[in-house]
Amino acid sequence: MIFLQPWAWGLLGLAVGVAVLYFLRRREEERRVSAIWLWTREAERPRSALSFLWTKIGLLLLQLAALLGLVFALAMPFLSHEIVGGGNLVIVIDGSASMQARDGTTTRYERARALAIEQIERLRPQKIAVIQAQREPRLLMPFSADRNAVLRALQQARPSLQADASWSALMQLLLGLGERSQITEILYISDRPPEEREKMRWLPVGSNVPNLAITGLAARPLPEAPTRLALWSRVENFSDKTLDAQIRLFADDKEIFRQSISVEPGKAHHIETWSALAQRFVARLDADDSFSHDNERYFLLPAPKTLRILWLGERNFFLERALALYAQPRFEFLKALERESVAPEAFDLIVAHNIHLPALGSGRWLLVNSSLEPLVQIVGDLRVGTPVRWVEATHPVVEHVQLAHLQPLRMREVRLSPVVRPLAVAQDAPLIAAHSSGALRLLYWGASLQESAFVLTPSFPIFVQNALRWLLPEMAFTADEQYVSSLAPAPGFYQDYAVNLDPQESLINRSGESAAAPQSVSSVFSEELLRVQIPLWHYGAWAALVFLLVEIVLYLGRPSFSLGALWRWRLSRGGR
Amino acid sequence: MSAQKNSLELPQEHALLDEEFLRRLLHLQLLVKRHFHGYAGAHKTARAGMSLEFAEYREYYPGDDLRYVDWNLYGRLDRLFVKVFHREEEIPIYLLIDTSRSMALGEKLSYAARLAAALAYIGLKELNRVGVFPFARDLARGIAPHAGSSQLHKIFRLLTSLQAQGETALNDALERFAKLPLENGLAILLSDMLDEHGYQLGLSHLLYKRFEIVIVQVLAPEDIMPRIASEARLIDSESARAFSVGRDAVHRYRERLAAYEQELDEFCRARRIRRVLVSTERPLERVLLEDLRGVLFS
Repeated sequence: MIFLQPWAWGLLGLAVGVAVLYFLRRREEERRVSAIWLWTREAERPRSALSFLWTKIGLLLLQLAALLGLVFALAMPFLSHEIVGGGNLVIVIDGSASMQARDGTTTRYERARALAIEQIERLRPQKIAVIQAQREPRLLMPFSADRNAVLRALQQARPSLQADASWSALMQLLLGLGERSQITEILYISDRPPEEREKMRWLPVGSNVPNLAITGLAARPLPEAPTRLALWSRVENFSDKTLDAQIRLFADDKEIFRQSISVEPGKAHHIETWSALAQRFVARLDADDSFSHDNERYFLLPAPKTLRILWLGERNFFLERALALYAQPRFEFLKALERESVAPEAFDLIVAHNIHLPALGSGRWLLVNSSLEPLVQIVGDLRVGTPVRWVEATHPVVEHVQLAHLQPLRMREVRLSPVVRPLAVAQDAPLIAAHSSGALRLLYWGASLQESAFVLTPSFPIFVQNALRWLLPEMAFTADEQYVSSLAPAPGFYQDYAVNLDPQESLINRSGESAAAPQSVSSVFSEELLRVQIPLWHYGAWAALVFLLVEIVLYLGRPSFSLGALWRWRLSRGGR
Repeated sequence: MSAQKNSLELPQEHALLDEEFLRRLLHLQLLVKRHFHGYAGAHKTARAGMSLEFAEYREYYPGDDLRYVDWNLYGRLDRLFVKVFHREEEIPIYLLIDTSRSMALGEKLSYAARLAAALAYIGLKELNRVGVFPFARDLARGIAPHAGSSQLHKIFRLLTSLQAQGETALNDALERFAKLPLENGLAILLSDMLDEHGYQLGLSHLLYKRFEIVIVQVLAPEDIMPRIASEARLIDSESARAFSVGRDAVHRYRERLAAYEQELDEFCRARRIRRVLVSTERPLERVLLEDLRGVLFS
């Protein structure tokens, strides 16, 4: 036991004063009585020594006990002892898809579960909570001292095919377990290090194993061939040796492609092929690797949407066909915009091709070699194009668009308003620019489509599709990639979309920093004896209060309560 | 008669009772349950006598006073009946006051003196003869029973001058009183009745002499519910005996007092002695108007 305020024991000296006051006050009072023969002389009554002592100094003892309790409380005592284990342990088991990778005969999840049980047996914590970390983390067992119940919960736990845990969701669940002070240690068992290593002890599982994965599958209509689709797939090798496999592609359950491939470590193999019109596409990989769940990928092409398009200026065959690939367009062509006759708000999209337009405050605009003052002002004629470079290569409009395909023969010299963001430029002239504010959304292409090979490249339909998705985000032109969740627990086709494994889950082998420097496995349970401090001062305070109250009650008068009186009262109330 | 009752003059200088208080006692009437031979007074007895209050008819016997024959009844029944009236008698009232030293405790003596003064006033206003006999171990000089305002003066003077002294000896004092050449009557005993040697013999002497006895036992709060903080040295107010007790002695004292009171109660009940226990903390007016009603007053 330690005392934070040991000086308080000096107050015990007050006991002398209390005793002196007691004996001074305790002098016998003289009392005249009418009939002394009705009183019993003290010596006449048989009394035990204890009873005699109690009569003499009982109240003093109570006062001294109260003083002792008070001094004890003031000294701020803490019971400090060291124990092995005894704290509260939180076990976080990674339940993401990658934990189903096999290391030999067992999965990483099974290994993690065995590790968790081993740690429980070794550390012998007082209370244990178990969390399964995944995109939507689950609390398998709240804090419990029942070790068997915890072990049962661990045995019954199953891994998911979800992506890695969202750190914020995991923290929220941890906070829900109680205050941080109640958690002695958090044990994180996973094949990947936690985002914030200093907050938990990481027990790594898994080793480098071969894994070949299909990380991409897409089908797009072809502008030049309306009855055919372009099919694209990507196979990546996430291991450190070359792997061979056979890939097969299916369209509406019919095999349309088969190829044997060999992929070098860390490289990707792309497959591009054609398919007849279909809606459901599946890619399957026959590979001998350790993680089979990423050997299959699904893609669903949604039915085209009706799109009301106002076309201003000259018509363009390629752009019209490209728009028709992703939607069922209902064009309205105008040579020039007459404000009084046409309301831009009545259309889903306005395409301006080779035309100068006045300022308009709303609408979705695809400006092709056109100006919309004051956002896009044409200041010069077309000139020979120079090499194009990205300004913002990650913008969704230019996603999957190859830079080489963009190179125009001649470009329009324009000046952009500062609010319009250039995405690609040739020298200083913007080739692609975008702007979005309020009801206005604008995408600018700064070259003539007639004088560019861009319309003939595979990037053109991709660019048009990206443009439609960015300009009209509320209309689903293509199915967004969906990952496994609690609503769609396995990859496959669902009603309106296809569900796949998060490609990040295919990265089952640690590399670089995480592989080279696994966290030390030292535990506050095992390496250090746990120091537990229990405050005791309130016991002293309560004892002092109780002693004082008893002393006051005894001093003021004999308590009327006794067991006999209680029994008689019960009898009088008819109780048995 | 009522004019006579109200004509009782109060002593000019006395500290016992105030006039307003005595006026509230005017309607009280002493309750006497036995027959005493006495002079005409205000106390109604069942004996036939001269008063304005008709009691009953009885058959005429030779020698009866013809003035009381009801001639109307004779006319209807052809038989002679005489009217019998209540006789109003005065009875001797003896106020026996314990003046032993124990009565000084808790001002029991002054309380008993004021009570005796009130009783004397009520007795005298009913034209009774009232006497006062203080006693301790022995009977002290008292006042023989007489009626009238001058008696009230004497009684008040005596009661004002009472001093608590001597030890209690109820048996001796009451025996001495019983042997006095006094006409029997109503003996009102005002005492704490706390006598180690008992009271039975003295009360038996009174009963033998055909006194009607009413005991007004006056106790102080500290007699009934004594308090001791931790320890106390008890000194007997009469014998000067002393010893120390602890706080738990109170409980035993109360048990023994209760037993003593029960014994006294049983003794009185068996001998038709009326008894009332009063505490000095109770207002005198409430004792007279409430506690003694049915015991001493009708």
